[in-house]
Amino acid sequence: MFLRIFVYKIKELSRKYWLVGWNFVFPLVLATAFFLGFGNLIKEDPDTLQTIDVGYVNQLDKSAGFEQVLKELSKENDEGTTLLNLHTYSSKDEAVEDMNSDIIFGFYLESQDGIETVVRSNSYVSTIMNEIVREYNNYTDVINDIAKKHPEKVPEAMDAISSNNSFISEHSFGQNTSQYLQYFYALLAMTSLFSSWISTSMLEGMCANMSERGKRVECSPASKFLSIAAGILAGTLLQIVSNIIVVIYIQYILGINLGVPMGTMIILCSIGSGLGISFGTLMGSMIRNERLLVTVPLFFTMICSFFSGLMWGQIKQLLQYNCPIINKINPAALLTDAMYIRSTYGPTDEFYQDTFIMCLMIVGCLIVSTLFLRRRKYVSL
Amino acid sequence: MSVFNAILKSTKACLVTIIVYFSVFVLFGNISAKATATTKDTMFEDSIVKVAITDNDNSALSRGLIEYLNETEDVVDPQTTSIKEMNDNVRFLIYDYALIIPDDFSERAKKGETEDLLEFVAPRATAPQYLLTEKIRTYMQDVMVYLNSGYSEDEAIALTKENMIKLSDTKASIMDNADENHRSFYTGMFTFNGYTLMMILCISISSVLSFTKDVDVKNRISVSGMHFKTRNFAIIAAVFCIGIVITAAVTVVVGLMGLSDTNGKFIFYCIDVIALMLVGLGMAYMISAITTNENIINMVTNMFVLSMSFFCGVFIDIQFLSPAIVKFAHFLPLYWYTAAIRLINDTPVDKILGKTFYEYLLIEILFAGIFFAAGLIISKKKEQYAV
Repeated sequence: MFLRIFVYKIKELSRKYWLVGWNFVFPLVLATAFFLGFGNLIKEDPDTLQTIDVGYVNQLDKSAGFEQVLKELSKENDEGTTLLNLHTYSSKDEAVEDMNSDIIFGFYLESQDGIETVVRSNSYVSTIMNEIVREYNNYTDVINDIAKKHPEKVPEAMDAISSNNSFISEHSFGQNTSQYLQYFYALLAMTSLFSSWISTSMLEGMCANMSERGKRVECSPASKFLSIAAGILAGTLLQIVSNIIVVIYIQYILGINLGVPMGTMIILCSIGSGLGISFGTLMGSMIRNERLLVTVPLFFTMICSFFSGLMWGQIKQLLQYNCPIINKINPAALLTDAMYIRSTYGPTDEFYQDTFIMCLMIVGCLIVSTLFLRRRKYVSL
Repeated sequence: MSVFNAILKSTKACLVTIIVYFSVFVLFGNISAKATATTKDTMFEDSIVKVAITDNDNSALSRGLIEYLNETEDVVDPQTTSIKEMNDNVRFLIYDYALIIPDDFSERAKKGETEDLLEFVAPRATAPQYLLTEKIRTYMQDVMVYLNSGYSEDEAIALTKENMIKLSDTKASIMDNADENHRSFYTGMFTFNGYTLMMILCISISSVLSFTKDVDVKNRISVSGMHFKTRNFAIIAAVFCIGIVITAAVTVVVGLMGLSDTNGKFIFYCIDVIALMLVGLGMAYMISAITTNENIINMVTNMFVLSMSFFCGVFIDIQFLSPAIVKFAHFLPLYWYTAAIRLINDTPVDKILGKTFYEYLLIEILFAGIFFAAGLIISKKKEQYAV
């Protein structure tokens, strides 16, 4: 009996076109939109500091050495990057013209009054340009100071200044996961939660007060527990398939490495599907209004997805410090967090904690749903 | 009048959807517009990096470094001692840079060590990361040179600080003559409006129109004594009425929220929004012709509008999109809506009304016409083949 209901439920659910559209097609469309929108940002981060096109105008007969500094900075460094791309101009007007045509970001004007940095707008790049002048002036000041009090130490100080001491190093976490991947994790979480529709739709066909089919199911001698369990499993299976399709599509067709091993991803997607289905079952068991059965899962999914970073990547981390409990009770945030942690830090304690909370949520929702659904009586069928 | 009233009353069924999308617009549109709004710079200002410092050394040297950073950057609380959480914070832009001063920092510096005295966490090789790393490196270089040249620790810190303050007077100036590169609050709000207005119009109008296509309702209308022309005129008038009310509400809200940034360009943004309203109505008509199932209306609208918003510069600035996507976006109406907004933003008020602006509006209206015509054809074919 169980197997029969299970198979029929799969057939019934997969023939609901709107359900197939929302759960199978919509995530693929959104993944494509995300990919076209910021797929190139994942591969080539726009925030990465690029070579800055700068101009240099010398109004002196001879440069005091600043031009040499700029030339040095225009050479490739040890990391294989070049900070500046130097353009030399004979007059300020020429440099201004090129700056207004976006050929150069800004320029340096060296005259009797010193070195002036000219840019079009304030930004980190303009500050970097000005910082180069400061560093240049700074070395002169330091050497002058030392020459006054400890002249014998000047050669040593000059050596120290010209040496390339790093002083500071970056802490590396191994995996450098792009921050834009967060959107794809949130998308997978949203896809998983869309399965709440599968449950509400399934329960609609099983509750006598909701549909004609529900009346028939209610009158039939089949065990209600068995029917609902078979339905839940069928829905979960469909959703797992949907999630795996989305993962394969993102990873292999769009070519975006999600950073989570495929086995772990399938487990996480299965847990996510279970979450969506169990939340849907809970909603289906509590809500008796046909319209609300569509609206509530949609808004539940969208609100959870928003707070997990689907539309605004920063929100989850902001909540972490202002109201951390939301991240611990939001199923989409838990799933997103688990994927993010697994890809960035590996299987840490936080990863297992997130997974455990999600499993706990599934069990909790199913228990509460059972309490609502058990021994439901109807005045007339 | 009865059909007109009936259509307006049916809108009540979509009230929740309208309120939700409207709230999304007011809240997130406002946040994103405020975050991206920039004003014309008149004088040079250093960009400040938000840096979180964890001082495990608490020595005179580390305090000197923190004092220097406090004066030049925005020093914030790291909110955690976990390096992983700091990494999450810089990744999700809670702050730009996390500096960790190890407990043996001062001891190693005094011994003359120069490698890996300090540690930092930053998202990538970004401009803020480069800038602050360079500043810290320069500061440390100076302190170490002074220390190695026979100065005491206090003298080295004081001299370095003095030098750094003196260097703040470096000559720098701004030469900015264009409106381009400056995004007003209105531009941000109206750009986001491209998504929300289209969603509200498509879902509500399609749903309302689908009510009139219900077989039972359709039969009752058919047998009523009302003339075909009167009936259709009432439907069109009601649909326009809903569209105008929603569009007016949106523009009034934007106008009120941007009162402090008000300028003469507001009226041009409104004209562009009206053109978008026509596109939204046309698209809603087409969707209602495709299906009357509310779930499918929701799904199709989400697919169309969300995808368009990604391709046409609503969610992601057009400069970050690949040229192929931008070329493709030319075939979508939202692209022309955002293009008109960019034109309004970048052009002085007296020069906006020109050939280009009219062209953009005309293209939007053409798209509205195409959607409407497509809807008519689909309806006719469906009727013809009794789909």
